[in-house]
Amino acid sequence: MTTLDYILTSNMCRKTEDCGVQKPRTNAEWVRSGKSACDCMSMRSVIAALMLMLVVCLVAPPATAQRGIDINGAIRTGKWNSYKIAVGDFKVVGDWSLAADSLAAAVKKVVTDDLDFHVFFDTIAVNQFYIDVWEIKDLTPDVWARMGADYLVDGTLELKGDDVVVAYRINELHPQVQEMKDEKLRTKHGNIRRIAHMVGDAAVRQIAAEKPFFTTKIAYACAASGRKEVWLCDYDGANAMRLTNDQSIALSPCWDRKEDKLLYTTFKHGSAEVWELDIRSGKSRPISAFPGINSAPSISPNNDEIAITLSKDGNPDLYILNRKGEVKRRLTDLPSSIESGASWSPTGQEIIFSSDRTGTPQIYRVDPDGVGITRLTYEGKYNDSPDYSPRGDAIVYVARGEDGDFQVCTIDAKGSDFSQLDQTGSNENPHWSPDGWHVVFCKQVGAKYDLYIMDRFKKKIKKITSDGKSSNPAWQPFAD
Amino acid sequence: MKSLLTLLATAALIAFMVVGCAKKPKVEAPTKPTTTETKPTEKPADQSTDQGTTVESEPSSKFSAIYFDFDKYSLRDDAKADLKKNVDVMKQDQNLKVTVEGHCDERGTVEYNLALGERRAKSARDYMVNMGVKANRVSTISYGKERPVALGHDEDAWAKNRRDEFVEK
Repeated sequence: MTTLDYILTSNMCRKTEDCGVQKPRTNAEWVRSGKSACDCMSMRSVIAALMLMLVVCLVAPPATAQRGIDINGAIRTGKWNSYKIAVGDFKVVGDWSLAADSLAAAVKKVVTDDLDFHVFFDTIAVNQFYIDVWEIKDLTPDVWARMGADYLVDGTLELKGDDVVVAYRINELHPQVQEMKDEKLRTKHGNIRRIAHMVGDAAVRQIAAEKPFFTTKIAYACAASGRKEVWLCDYDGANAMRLTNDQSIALSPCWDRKEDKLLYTTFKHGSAEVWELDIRSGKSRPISAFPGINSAPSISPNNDEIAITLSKDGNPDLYILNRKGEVKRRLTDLPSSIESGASWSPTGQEIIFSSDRTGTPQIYRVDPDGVGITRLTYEGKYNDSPDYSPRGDAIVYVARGEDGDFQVCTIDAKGSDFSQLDQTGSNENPHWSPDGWHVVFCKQVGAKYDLYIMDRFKKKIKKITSDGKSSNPAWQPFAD
Repeated sequence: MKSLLTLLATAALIAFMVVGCAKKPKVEAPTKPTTTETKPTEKPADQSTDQGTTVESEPSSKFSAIYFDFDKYSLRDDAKADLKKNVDVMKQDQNLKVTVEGHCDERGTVEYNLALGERRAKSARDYMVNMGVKANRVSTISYGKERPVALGHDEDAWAKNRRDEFVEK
């Protein structure tokens, strides 16, 4: 397996031998402690016990943890009742070594970071006061339950030659401890982050019944090598690598819906052309190289068509191309306005875009045959860069505020229900995560451009690049 | 009885607060980035590597660059005056061919600015053609916001970057 193979994500990775999955029966090390925390405590004083019981009553969740989040209710109220999950240790089994120990710590860290970022989860940290008072030696599932966790993920790690075997288990802690899933994953040392992301994925799938995204990638433009090229990183910014070497200007990547390919805009032959890059082979071919600009491609949900901005007929307008780059039809035809930034709805029945036909850019929608153009944004003078949620319920875009800064905002598909995601810096090019609950965007702070990810409701934000020269992100869609 | 309950509740509250305080040292810091972190320390360093805020472009060019207002591609009076000079240069040497490069400031998205840059370039070309320069002697290209000439992040720099440059072919 090459480095690139490691770095590339295919959501079908479970089928590759590298991640060979064995389903073990219950492991002896994992036999639950049948004792409750009360059995092992040595009481210091009656008062302390009374106080602690009250504390436990106050911090402990209701006896039965609710599975399944009322999404519509959450959207309406903006209140989010997260799954409280604890990420326990991944204990080294077999021969202990420093290498094994640091890999185990890395797995725990990645799983914790993943779940902590996910909008449906909050991670529960160790309550040291509780541990000290009750003189707790082992963080058993019962102890985690008493510290406020509804779920626990932990496991073991074992080195076998060049391979690492991570065995994880997911426990539901209420009303009583019950194992939901366990699995063994085997990989090479260098691939440990990916395995950890797969553990996080399993927790999301198992507990929230949502499609997980921790193993997806983000393509973006980055000038860290001198010229702006297209780069690729994990969703959390790790494993960043340069993909193109055009030595001119390469930007605006757009993911193929099925394969590891990107469309992107490049100036390698002088003016802006759209090329297709095969990420695995590194080979690229021209798709759209008409006179004038060729830019801002967006691939339809059925993967057959490209919505794109061309100025070959004199003015920047939207066109539909087939995947070979032949013009199928023209979507907009106004002689003196810019139409750009197309994005398909998940059904393929709508395309949203920005147009400055009224004098400043605003967001519009149109049917894929070019009829039914409707304006969606009216607030503010400058609204641009729309991206249609893969859930179909929202559009994310940037709005220029009174202070001149650009902010990431969302509206619903009809243009109502305005919400602003982030208040700081100046932001651009927001793009949805494949699950439609999170976004990635570029934030400018001073002279630095970096990528940030955040969720739509709790607005937990996380900086994922730090080179100061990253922009134009596109989050990999689910492969289905 | 009532006072006992109150006492217990108070004790619980205190204990609760102690828990909150006691756990702090061990708790892993949440990964919220502080958006102000880069401001004070990194800005000066950046400016020094940017070799000042302005890089003079092609000082020996026969042509004058022209400038635009934010999000506009219409020609200002000063731009028209400079364009007239450029037209004179073109008329004096009938063999000259020129590419008009449209540029934008850093604000707004890459894609929109690519289109805006092209319209700026075409505004200048159309004006020159109307003044009698043959259309096949003037071509256009847009670099959007990708090739700023001034590297600052304020109105001074932005005004310099919203421009058309004229490059002899």
